[in-house]
Parts: sequence; C-alpha cells; structure tokens
Amino acid sequence: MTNRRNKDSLAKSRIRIAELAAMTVCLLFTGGYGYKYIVSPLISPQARGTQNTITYDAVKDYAYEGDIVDKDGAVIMSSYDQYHTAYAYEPECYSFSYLLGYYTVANGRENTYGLRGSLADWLLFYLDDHNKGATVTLTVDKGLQDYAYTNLLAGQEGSITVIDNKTGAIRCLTSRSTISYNVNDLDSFLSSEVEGAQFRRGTYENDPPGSTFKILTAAAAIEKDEEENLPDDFFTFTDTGSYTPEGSSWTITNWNDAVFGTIDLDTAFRNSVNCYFADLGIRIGQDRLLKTAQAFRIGKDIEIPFLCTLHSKTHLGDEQPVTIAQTAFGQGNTEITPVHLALIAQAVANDGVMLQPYVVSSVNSGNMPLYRAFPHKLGRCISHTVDVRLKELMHHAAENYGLSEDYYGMVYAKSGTAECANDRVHTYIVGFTEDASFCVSMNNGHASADLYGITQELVAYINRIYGR
Amino acid sequence: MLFRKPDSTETMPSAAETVDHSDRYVVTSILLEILYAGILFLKGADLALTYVYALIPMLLITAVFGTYLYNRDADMKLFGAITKLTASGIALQILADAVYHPQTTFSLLKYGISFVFLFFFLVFYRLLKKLLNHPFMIWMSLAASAAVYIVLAIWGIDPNGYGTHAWVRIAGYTVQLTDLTKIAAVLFYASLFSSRHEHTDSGILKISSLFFFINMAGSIWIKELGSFFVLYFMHLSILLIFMDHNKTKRIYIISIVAASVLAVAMAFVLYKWMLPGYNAGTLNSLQLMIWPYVKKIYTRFSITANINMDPYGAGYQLLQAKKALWMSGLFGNTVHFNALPVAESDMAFVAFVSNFGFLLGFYVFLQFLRIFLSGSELSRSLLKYERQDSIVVYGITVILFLQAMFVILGSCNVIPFAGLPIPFLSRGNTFQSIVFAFSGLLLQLSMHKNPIVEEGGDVHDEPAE
Repeated sequence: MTNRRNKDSLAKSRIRIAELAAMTVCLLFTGGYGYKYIVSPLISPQARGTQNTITYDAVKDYAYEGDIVDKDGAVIMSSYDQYHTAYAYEPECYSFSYLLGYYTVANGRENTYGLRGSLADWLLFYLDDHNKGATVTLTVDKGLQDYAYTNLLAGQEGSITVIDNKTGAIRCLTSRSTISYNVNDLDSFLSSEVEGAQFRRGTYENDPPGSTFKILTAAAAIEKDEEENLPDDFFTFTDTGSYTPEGSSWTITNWNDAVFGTIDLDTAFRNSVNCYFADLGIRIGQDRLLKTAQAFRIGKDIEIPFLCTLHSKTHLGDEQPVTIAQTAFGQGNTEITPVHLALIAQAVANDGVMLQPYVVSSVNSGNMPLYRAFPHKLGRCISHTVDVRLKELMHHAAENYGLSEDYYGMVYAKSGTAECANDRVHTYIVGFTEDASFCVSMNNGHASADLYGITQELVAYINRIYGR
Repeated sequence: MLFRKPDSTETMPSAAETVDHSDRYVVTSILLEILYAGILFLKGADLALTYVYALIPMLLITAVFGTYLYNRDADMKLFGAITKLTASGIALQILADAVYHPQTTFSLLKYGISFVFLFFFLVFYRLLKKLLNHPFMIWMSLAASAAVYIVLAIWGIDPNGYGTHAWVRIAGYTVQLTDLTKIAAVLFYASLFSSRHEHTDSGILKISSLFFFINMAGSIWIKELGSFFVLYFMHLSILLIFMDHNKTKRIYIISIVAASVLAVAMAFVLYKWMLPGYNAGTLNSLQLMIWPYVKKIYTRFSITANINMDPYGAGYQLLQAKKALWMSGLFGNTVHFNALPVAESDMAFVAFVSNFGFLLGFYVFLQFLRIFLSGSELSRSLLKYERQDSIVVYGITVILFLQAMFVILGSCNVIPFAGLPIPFLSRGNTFQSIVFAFSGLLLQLSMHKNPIVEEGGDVHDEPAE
C-alpha cells in the first residue's frame, strides 16, 4: 500500500507540473499575442503602420471611405459611385484641403495628414453594412469656408479662422500656402519643393503677433490698475513718435512714423501706438505681462482634437527693458499661430474664458455614435471687469477699421502687423462679433489696413450665418 | 430553488468557515450568454434573433443544471468554463453563417443531439466503469481503435475535400469516426492503469505501445494525423504521470520524442531529395506513396517558420488568419473582413477573435486553461479514492485541452497547424457530441471528488487499507 501511496503522490506532483506547464503556455500566448496585436499598435508607430497596411490592403477593394460633412450635414467629401477613396468637388477640394489632408499606407508605413489621416480608423476602417466608413461631421460651415478661401484669401498666402464664441467650435479654418493643394490630387501637395509649402497656415505658422499682442498688454495694464488702484495718469503717455527703452540703443517708432502727443489707453489702442505700449509694458513689468500671456496660454500647447496641437512661445524672462518693450507691442521673439490669436479673441468674447477649439463635431457609423465633441474650458484668462474694459477698447478699434456698429453690429477687433524674418510682413486682424471670433491672417502683406475690406466681408458673412 | 446550497436554516456559517459562492459561475455564464445576444444584435437583428432561439434553452440548461451541480458540490468553475465555451461556440457559429458562408449551417438540433448523447454516454460509462477493471477491456479498447481505422480504410469518405478519409456516412449523416478513438483511448488507459490490475512496467509499455502504433498506423493510413497528435501527447503524458518513475520509462519516452524529431528531420531531408524527382515525374511507386506525407510535414513546419513561403497555396489559410488577428483589436474587426477559410472549424478561434475581439478571445482561451486546471485538480483528488476515474478524468482533460491548444496555437501560427475542430467552438457534430459527453462526465465525477467519510474521519485521510 505504501508503494501505491508513493506512486499516487508522484503522479500528483507530476500533474501539478503539467498544470504549471499549461499555465505557462497560456500566459505566454495571451501575453505575447496581447502585446503584439493590442499593445504594440498603441505604442509603436511601426506596429500601427503594419496593422493599418494589412487592414488597408485587405479592404481597399471593397471599402468606401466615409463621408465628411459640415455642421449642417452638407457633404464636403464623399466616396461617390465606384470610387473607394473620397472625392471633394470644387471649391471644397481646395478650401478644405489643408484641413482634410490625406491617408496612405505604403511599405508598412502610414502617411497621414490632417483629419483624414487622424480619423482613418473611422473613415476607412469602421465600415457599415454597405462597407462604407463612418461619417465625420465637422463644426465647419461649408459656405463660410468656401467663401473665405475663394473670395477673401483669393489666392493670397494666409489663413482665415472663425471660432464660435460659446463653444470653441471652429466654423472656418481655411488656408492657402505657396501651392494650390487639391485634396483629390496628392501630387499637388507632395511635389512642391518650396520650404514650408505643406504647412497648414493657421495652425503651424508661428510668427510674432504684431500689434494684436496689445490686447494682452492692455489686459495686463487694466488688471494692474484694478489690483493696485493706480493713479489717473498711469494710462497717460506723451508720444513723440519714438521710444528708446532704458539701457538700449534700439529705437521704437510708430507706424508711418506718426506722432500722437499726449494720449490715453483708448487712443493708443485704437491707433495702435507702438511707443505707448512699449512704455506701458515696461511700467507694467515683466512678471505681470508674462502672467497675462500665460493666462492666454502663450507658451502652452493647445490641442485641437484630431487635427493638431498649437504651439507658441514668449521670450519674456530676461528682465531687459528692450525685451519687455518689444514684446509689449507685439514684436520681439513672441511666436504664435493665427488660430491661437483667434482663441485670444474668443476668450475676450466669452467673458474671459478660453475654450478648447475643436473641428470634429461627431462621428457616426449609420445610427451608431462613435464620437461626440463637447465644449471644454481651457481656463479663465482675465476677470469679468478687465474683459468689459478690453471689449470697449476693441470695439472702438473695430469702428476705426470700418466695422461700424450701425452696419455690422457689435464688433470688436485689433489689427496687427508683424515684421518677420526675410523682410516678410505678416498682417492680422483678430476680433469677434456677438457670435464668433476670427483671425484674418496674410503672410505676405504690407499693412494690416489692407485687411479691413476682407474683415468687413468676413464679419458680414458671419452675421449672415448666425442670422443677424 | 435556483442556486440554493447553504443549509442556512440549521446553522449560520461561523467567521472561520468559508461561504461557498461558487454559484457565481452560474451567474457569470448566464451573463455571458446574454452578452452575446447584445453583441450579435449590434451586428444584425437577424443574428440576434437566431441566437435567441438558442439562448432560451441555453439559459434554462445553465440555470437548472447549474443549480443541480451547485447543490451537489460539483466543480462550478469547470461548469462555468464549459457553459461559457458552449455559449461562445454557439454565438460564433451563428455569426459564421452570416459572415463566412460555410458549406454547412448552424443547427440547434445538432446541439440537442449532442446533449442527448451526453446522457447516453454517462449511462454508458456507469455501466462500463466496473468492466474497466477487467483486463479484457484493454484489448477491447485496442480492438475498437483498430476497428475504427479498418472501417475508415474501407468505407471512409472525404466530404470536405481535406484529403483525409476520417468520415463515414450513416443514414445520410456524416460521422467523423476518428473522434471515437479518443473515447477508446481514454478507456484504454483507464483500464491499463486500473487499480485492481497491476501490470509490470514492461507490460504497460508494451501494451500501450501497441495501442500507440495501431493509432499511428491507422492515422497514416487514412491520412488524418491531427487526431493522432492529440493521442501522441496523451500517451506520453499518461505514461509520464501515472507510470512508475524508472529508467525503462525514461528511455522509452526519450526514444519516442527523439524518434519524432528524427522523423520530422527525415521528412525535410526526403523532401529535398525527392522534390526534383517529383517535379520530373520520375518517383517510383514507393516514393510516390510516401511523397504526400513528406510534403505535408515539410510544408506545415516550413510555413510556421515563414508564413510568406506560399502565400496563395499552403500558407494562404494562416496568412489570412494573421491578417484577421491584426484587424481584430480589442472588440473585433470593424472592416467586415471575411476572407478566412474554414472559419467555422479549424479557424474557429481566429474567427472568434476577428468577430468578438481579443478581449473575449483571451477570455475564451483561458476557459480552456480553466478546464485543464479543474480536470487536473479533479484527477489528483480522485487519485486517492479511484485511480481508474482519475485516469479517465486526466485523459479527457488532456484531450480537450491539447486539442484546443493545438488548433488555436496552430491557427495563430505559433506551432505547425493541424486541421482539427476546436472543442466547443468548432462546428462538427461528432466531435461536439464527444466534447459534451466528456464535459458531462467531468462534471459528474467532480460531484464525487469528496466521497462521504465515516463519522469522525477526515476527508483527507487515506482510505482504509
């Protein structure tokens, strides 16, 4: 019996070894395959490229790219009839090209750009019963985008951005670079050898903000006044047409060498007096100016879901009066994108609260919702009282640009002219109506006054689509 | 009285006592069965409706038998694994008809037949159990295996065109007879190691080798090596576990493994040597006879090493499986990828992952491990009281687990692929019936894992000598 007991005991221990072996095999399989097929595509672009190459090759003969429609459901891009890849008619093939981008795979590598690149998982790889990809609804107004591209940019290099004041939804983000990128023809995008031709103006172009930065300088000054109850003459400045910051030999002049004499903040803002703001910046101080810039998220990344991340920077920090002065009137080393400038206007329009911009409203496959965007606050930039005073300044400036209250309603704006590298002049007008904020940006301008007409047309169109 | 076990009217369990919550395995099985209805509904209302016809009896069986087994101290983890795998198989097979359009269609009736077969098998085993202690059962099992191969050699058909003759047609139904050799194998080893008939080590090795070679020769004869692989590992593992540990056994097992490796190596050498002759059409009759086997072995191993070797030929099935796995994601592919050959059978696991995703795929995969662990634990506990039952349980467990592993790992190109059905997941009435019968027997024996002990005794005590 003892022999038998020993045999059984040995058998039991061997069964346990078999159990361990089975567990090892199962864990190795689940771990290995879980890593290979689930985890690695999430963490490795190479694995994701492999996954999507395999998927793309497998489905390309029967899958139809999903539709991209505007906020009202108007088709921007669709796979018509026998075409498996989506197609956009004119003018959308140009006006939306930098927004939509492309998606291709070759040799195990993904090539992506714009919304079609980042939404490929839904547009191409989430098929409905008819083998068509999911429908992506944008926040954009197709008519406004087409109008902005065709009539306002009108062949010029630049961008026009319109953002809803209360939601952060992008109503228009049209760009034109040095090439005419047709979204149906990838060669029109890739064949150019001009540097920066492929950058989407509006989101990737970091230039100095020019005088649009005076919005922030003014905000910082008003805030200082509120907190410190400054004397009445704090905002008074006698302009002689030039200003040399202490310890510097660099002289700041006004646009067209204009001289304004003794002026207050409202006059200086309306006339964009560089010397006034250079001096104001120094009197405000670097810390407050920097704090205000950071409150408006300059130096911080802002994500536009599925599209890109906006980058910006400021070089305030060396305590040098010349740096503060330059920054305060919008030159120096501050760099910002036009969409970010539109967001600054949006924050002022929205009682000082900046919202996250978004361009994808929803994604649906048939009746099944796959994604839905909701407004999201980025943070408060300025207090309500500062906001009220800023609005007054910007409204007066807007009237100066021909945006009369009688004709256009309440419009608030600030122009800017930035001197960039290679003697290029970047002109802007940022502002907002009761409904939407905007930034008109031209890369190779002469003076921001050239944008008045375009801005007036844009504001008129915005008012129309909002029923005003 | 669903799920009522603790005799709470008499005593409340003290803090030290463990409350049995194993009824949760019934609940989780029911939830999974309902979850599949939801998933299928998202894929198509008609699919969900077809599933609902199966769901109603499935819920009933899970609840009623779950309650029965729970109240009789059966292994509820095992029950949970079996019911979950069955539900997964049914959901997959319903979906397979819509997605892959296989030659056959899902039949709930066949599940009913399998269920009836299960009861017959349990009665059959109860009657046969005492006979297993007699030496003639060894030879009966051996003869039964041989008879299966002889019948297949004479009347075997190849209804699917796989190149094997493992089926016979009986009254209009095709039956895969090779599956019966698995029952014969379980009975053979149980009888061989029966507690009331001690064989010498040499005797065990000789008799089991005879059984082993009959199966090997029969499998080669009918060109069905897949089932033999399962028996091969079952043979080795049962000898390794239940036979005395001695030098003879060690040499025997090492010899078998070495011979297997050598056979594969030989197949590679022969393939290279015979290929020019085959292409030139100059092979002699003996070479022509062994050529299909040599080629099959060479191809299976080569494709595992390099899946792109023959992408439109022998490697096509595995290449499509690989694509399907890449597209599966956590919740299944979203691109209607349906170019997966034999999705309802050999590729059932890949098809399952492709449609339900890796999350459920791994869950289902781990249920096979659960069966193995429960079966092994049961085998260990039965060893104390009934060696014969212990071997039956272990044999069944090994067959279910190994067959699942061979096909799953093979279809995922981890090991050379063997075209076999996956227990619970694959279509195939004969194998499904045997899987149900084996599962039922495991559950029935799990109710007796802790026999009633005399008052004052301890369940862990050794039985009286």
